[in-house]
Amino acid sequence: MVVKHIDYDKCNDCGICYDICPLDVYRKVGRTHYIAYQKDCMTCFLCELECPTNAIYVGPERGRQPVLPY
Amino acid sequence: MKEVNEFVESDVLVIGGGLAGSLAGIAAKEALGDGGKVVVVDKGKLGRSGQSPFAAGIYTAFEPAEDDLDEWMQEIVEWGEYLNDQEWCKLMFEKMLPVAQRIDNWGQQYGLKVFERDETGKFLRRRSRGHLKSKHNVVNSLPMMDTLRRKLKQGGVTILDRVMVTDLITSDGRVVGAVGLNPQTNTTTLLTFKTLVLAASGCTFKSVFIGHKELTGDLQVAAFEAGIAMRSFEQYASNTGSRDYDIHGLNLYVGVGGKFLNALGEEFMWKYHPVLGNRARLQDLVLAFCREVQEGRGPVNLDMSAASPEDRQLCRKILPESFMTWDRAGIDPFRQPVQWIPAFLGTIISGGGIHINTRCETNLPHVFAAGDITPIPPHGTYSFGGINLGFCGVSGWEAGLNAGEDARSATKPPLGKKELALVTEVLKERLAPLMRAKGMLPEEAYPDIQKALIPSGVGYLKSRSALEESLETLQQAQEDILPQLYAPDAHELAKAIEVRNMMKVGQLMVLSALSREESRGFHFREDFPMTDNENWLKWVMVKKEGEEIKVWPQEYPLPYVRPKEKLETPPGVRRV
Repeated sequence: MVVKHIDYDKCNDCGICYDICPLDVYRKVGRTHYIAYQKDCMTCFLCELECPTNAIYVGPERGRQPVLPY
Repeated sequence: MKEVNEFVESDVLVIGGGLAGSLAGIAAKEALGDGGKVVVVDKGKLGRSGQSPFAAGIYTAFEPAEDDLDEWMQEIVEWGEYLNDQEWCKLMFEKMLPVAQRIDNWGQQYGLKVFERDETGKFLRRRSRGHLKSKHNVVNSLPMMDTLRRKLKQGGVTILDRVMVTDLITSDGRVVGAVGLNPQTNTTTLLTFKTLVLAASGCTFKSVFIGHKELTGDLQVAAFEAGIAMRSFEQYASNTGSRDYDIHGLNLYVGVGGKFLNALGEEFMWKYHPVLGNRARLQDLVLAFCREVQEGRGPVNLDMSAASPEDRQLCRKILPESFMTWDRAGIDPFRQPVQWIPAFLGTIISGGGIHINTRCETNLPHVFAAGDITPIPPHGTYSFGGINLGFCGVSGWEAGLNAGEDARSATKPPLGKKELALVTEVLKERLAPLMRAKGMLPEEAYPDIQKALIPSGVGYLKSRSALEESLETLQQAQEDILPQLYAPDAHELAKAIEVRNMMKVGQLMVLSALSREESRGFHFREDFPMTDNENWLKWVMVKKEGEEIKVWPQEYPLPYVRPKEKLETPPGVRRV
């Protein structure tokens, strides 16, 4: 599920999510940022925690199921 | 993306902007003074990239007024199974508290609380994973990184965010440049310098864990290809984590009373480590988990119901990201057991890297390394929690000071036609996936790489046959998959380069694991199931010579603590 959506009624186009995402998940069109590479999200919550308008929601499930040891 | 879009010159270039790299940048600037130019580049945004922002609250620091140096030395070397660089242990113990105090003071100047304090105003100290006499401080990692970013800027250090360094250019035995690309701006950068500090991280193979999925060994591979000597890759490491969610914080969880239970409800860790039990080191935990499952007593659960109300609040405060996951998944880890598994970390933490001396020098002139790109020399196999941050702090500061000092007298290496031709050649190869009209997307290669490394026979309870099969897979994958990787854009290009790097690091790990014919630390060999102090008090070194990968065992000094027994029982074996 990873980063699920940006609420554009709340988003103020500040770009913090794009700026900080460690996995480079966001891209922008003009001033508007969007989730471009959702499966790469590692559910670290940094974008949601730092979004000044609470516009981002991150779900807890992984984007890809990795191989497990057993 | 063209050949080179941007040229950036410096006296000292630091690659990697976590705790070690940021401190290296600050210290190098101090050593160089006003006229010196220091540049720090990071694959992400410095302060929100790599492991440091997710460091789960613990920074171990020796406190001379309270602690006994001999006791700490004995503990770290015994727990590190004698593989430690003991001179590094001594240096680290001397300097880890002053480094912590320095960062805390800067934080106070900016109104940021970096270290937690007790009711008397001293740094809060606790014991968690692996600590007997040793103790750790409790650090707030995001304010720590905000402090370092502000300090870098205040000191006049140039920060370049989103530059993924893919290659080091060498000429006549010297590193003359670093090539980077920025997936957001779709540009390439050539970085030149007098002195270089390598301070990025290792490779986690996009495995289960929070905050590690961008760590793909990029700079370890660049250093290896440049001829930098590395070691201890057979100690590829694991943390432990939830089977279903990417969370962190195990040090705190076991520090507040978390217990591991097998399918029979037994608190089994006491059978593997009668002294530390649930607070045993990572190698004890992950090998014991695999053994319990192999012998039919799995799965393993973490039970944190014994944590006090105050400790539950502390966990929530220090680990906000993990608790957002728990809350949204509808799980209260203090009320219900959570299925817990080994979480493969690869070459981060204690799992192998660039070999350095106590001045943070590598085997190449004017090249230093610090932090997690090294094997964390004081750790040995893996000693106790909080050493990683403590070492990143000390080595970052020392590497920066020494690099700054070096750059004062070093000359800038030449960058002529020959060197620029090498840059062109490297870029052509790295950008090739962008030029293909079709092919295999990078993420299609992830399962092959993970299946070659993470299953228990290669990752944990190892056998020669499983290791040989893994090596064959990784070698074949480099021949078959890399030439057909396709990147529709610069983001996917970065992922394609990550695939190349993960395959190479995996190959170095497995080659090293085949070389060490004993069991020690994370390295358990079913065919050599004892720790052999007579023949294997050696580091497994690895270095590129020509086109060959040279792997060899190397003796090292043990000046303060030596093992008493010739043969010992390694982690992962039930003792009672």
